[in-house]
Amino acid sequence: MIGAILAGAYGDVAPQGDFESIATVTVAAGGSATVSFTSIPGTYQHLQIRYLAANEGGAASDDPIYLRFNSDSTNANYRSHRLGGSGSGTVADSYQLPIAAATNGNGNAATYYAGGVIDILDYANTNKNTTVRSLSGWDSNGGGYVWFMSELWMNTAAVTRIDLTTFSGSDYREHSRIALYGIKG
Amino acid sequence: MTATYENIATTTLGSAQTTVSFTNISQSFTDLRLVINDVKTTSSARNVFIRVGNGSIDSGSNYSHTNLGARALSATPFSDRQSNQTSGKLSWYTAATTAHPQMSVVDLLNYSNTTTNKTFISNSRTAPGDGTYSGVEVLVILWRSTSAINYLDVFTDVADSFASGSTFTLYGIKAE
Repeated sequence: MIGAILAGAYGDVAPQGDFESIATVTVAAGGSATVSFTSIPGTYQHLQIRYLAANEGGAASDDPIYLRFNSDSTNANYRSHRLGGSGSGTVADSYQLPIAAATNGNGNAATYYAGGVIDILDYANTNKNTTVRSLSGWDSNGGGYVWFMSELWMNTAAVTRIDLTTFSGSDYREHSRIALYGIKG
Repeated sequence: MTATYENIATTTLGSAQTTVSFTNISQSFTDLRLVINDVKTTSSARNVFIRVGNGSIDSGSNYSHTNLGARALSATPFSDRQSNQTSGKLSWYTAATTAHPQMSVVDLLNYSNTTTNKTFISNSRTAPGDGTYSGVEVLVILWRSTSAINYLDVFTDVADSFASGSTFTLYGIKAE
């Protein structure tokens, strides 16, 4: 069962020429609490966020990334599921929170950054709620997590704005790079 | 908006080969995506590994990884970790035969920056049908170097090699 779930994730290779860069944020010195993409055009079939990012938290621990849509800050409007590996065991849980992926604190080393790819599917369709899937993780040569996640936003509005924060509230660390792409249908 | 997903190079093996190399990789992209569809020359349990570098391949103990996977007929997922390795692991314990090739999609994120260590995410699977070794995995790989990546090797266990017909495609993805 688990294998079947994972097999459905992430293997697709986008057609060349139909994959476009929309916007990129590189976090400057001092960090940033929120990374935002605004005025997202509705002209694509799907969106993809690709990142190499860490936060300023001092703990050498996993820190979920919150993905909120259209400035909706009500946690009850979101659901998320996670299936993860800690290197010594597996984790499966769910939340009424907008958890989409993972990053890490700087307790390991300031140069260790988490990576991830987040797909936001059929984001402009106004007949369906919005579903997100991702693969993400970080390794610190002795610690780390790898995650397969999904997020649901219970709203049929077209997505025009995405805000990324962290569960811990820590700022995204300097040099974090988060890029938004559009995939044509 | 500009098209930003480009093929850098594709290797299709005409005969069995132990290592597939990409050299002088352009630094003009933000991410690399490596797509592997391989067949091994034996049916034993094998791994697929990656090494990277700048100007040459780094075979030092600078790689580590954490994984999540499910294998064969087991209903229980597993997670493992290896530290201080001389290569990163892209997939574990696969026995890809002609009937059951293995596929891996590997993202090398922000590969050309010279500030952070590099993190890769790999999703691999062996086609169902091999009751012993089929499976699916997600791995996160750390390369402890801030060097930009312009060399990349993929290889399998010493006792094995990639069979003729295996394909290895490297794409570049560029953020504006």
